[in-house]
Amino acid sequence: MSLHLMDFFEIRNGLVSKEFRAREIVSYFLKRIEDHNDQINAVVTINENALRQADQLDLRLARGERLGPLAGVPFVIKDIFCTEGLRTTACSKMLHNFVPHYTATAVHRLISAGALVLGKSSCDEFAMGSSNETSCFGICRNPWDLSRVPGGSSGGSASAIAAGIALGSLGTDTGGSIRQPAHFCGLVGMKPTYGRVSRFGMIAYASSLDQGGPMTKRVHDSALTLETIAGFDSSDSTTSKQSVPRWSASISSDLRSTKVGILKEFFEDLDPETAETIEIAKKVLQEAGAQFVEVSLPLVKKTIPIYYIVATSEASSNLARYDGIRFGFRAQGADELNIEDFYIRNRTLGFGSEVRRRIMLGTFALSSGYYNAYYEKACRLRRLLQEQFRELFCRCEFVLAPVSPTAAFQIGQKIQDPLEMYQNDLFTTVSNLVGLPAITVPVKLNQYGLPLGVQLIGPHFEEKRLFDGGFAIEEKIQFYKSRPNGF
Amino acid sequence: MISRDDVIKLAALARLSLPEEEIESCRRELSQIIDYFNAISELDTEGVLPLMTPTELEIHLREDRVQSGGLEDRDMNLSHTLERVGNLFKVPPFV
Repeated sequence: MSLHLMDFFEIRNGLVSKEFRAREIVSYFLKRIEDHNDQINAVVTINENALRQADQLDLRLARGERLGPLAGVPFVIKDIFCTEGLRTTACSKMLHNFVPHYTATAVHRLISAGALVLGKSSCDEFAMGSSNETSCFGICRNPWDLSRVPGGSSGGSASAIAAGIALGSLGTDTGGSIRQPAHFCGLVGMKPTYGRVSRFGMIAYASSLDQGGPMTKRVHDSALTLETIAGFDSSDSTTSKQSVPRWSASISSDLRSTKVGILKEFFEDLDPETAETIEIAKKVLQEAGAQFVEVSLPLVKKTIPIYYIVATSEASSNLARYDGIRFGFRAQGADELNIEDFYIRNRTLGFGSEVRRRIMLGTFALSSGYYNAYYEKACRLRRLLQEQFRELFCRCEFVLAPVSPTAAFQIGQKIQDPLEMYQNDLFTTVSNLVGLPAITVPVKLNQYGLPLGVQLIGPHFEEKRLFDGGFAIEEKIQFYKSRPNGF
Repeated sequence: MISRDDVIKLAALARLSLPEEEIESCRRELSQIIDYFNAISELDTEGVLPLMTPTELEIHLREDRVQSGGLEDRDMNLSHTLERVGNLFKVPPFV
């Protein structure tokens, strides 16, 4: 019985029809973690209570209780979501010993719907990175080619699903951190509208950009997960009170009367392989009934500097809380120092180099004399982007775009050059700046057997259009049938 | 382009220390990134209001009332620290 090849519906169905028990599901996937995690280093903490939680689910089933929509589905959770009693580190030395007393709202909703948490997945330190190389747990590898990165920052989540050691994951996306690893690992990655999913219990990187969302193999599973975790939460004042549709029940690949925008600026100097991937997606969408319109948004070419100014500014403020007093890393001998030096020692030794770099950049952009020219200016441009997208979406239902300039790159290839690494976010950061939903859907494997996907970007709260468009691609291409060798 | 003094000042503001031998490489790296940020300076934003968050029209504040969220237990909240004295966090002297 190959549970790792099943979709969420098949898992739930098998459980409810007593074909297998929740305990068997957990045992099966824990065994897969044991067999394969050494190769990819995707899971950083195992949930020691997973079997007990499975037993509880089996007990509820035996009692005849009705189980939730994600019953029995094994998840790994990006190590940026707090999980009660289960170590949560943001993959930083700063939080190496942190065991939260509460569970993030999104994870809580997932568990309430019957999902089984196998453990926590690796990510870039504090979700800052595009390759998962800054995790304090070491490099995480891409199952499609172990010499390559899985993407980042939710790289462990993507690697785990691609390797079949979990079926789903919750990731977070501040500038592409769900969509780019999904692209590198051949998965569906959904970054919802800002405000759809509660950030309560999600360790903050840049609060006005961060958004949690599902990573799965299938579009339907993504919709089912998002409708489970989305919706207002009184613990997060930025969550929306907009009703959450049951997307999974209404997905349709019929795109007649759908206009798809082709954003001109995204197609200049495109890598031939990426351009070919877009052409395939275009053809499929056309066959499903979609029409195309060319749209233009000149400002979109400047989004990387705008994004990195806003993101690092917010990061420098959010990460000011880590001082080694109430929680987190405390350097040896720090207690002997005066309070200023105590802070400095703990922060300097507790944070990795990319995190320190971003804190410094953000401190610069917010500092007296530079605030207006950098942070405030970036925020003004952010409003212009929002207004321009509003106009753009009067002409099309969603935009078809690349996810990343290339397929997965080699481990070590870009880590020494921060600016080159930042260029990876060329096509993804704009959705975060404006708060738009966007989805990655896998399309093909390149000549080296590496996955390539496309991105669909929609207007606020129109995730349905993205699920429909994504489903049209999935139905035709059926990428989910492809698997990396050895997994 | 930022100066060596700027880097030292930034590190102090960010409560981070930089060993002497890393100051110059840090200055070069930050300068390069900040030069890249400067690409936005030429863009016209006259009369445009800053947008700090995408949900500026929909912020739901609740009444400022004590609620039991299960997180008010003092021992629980003190348990993450390495050093406590009774019900207090112990910090180095600062006066």
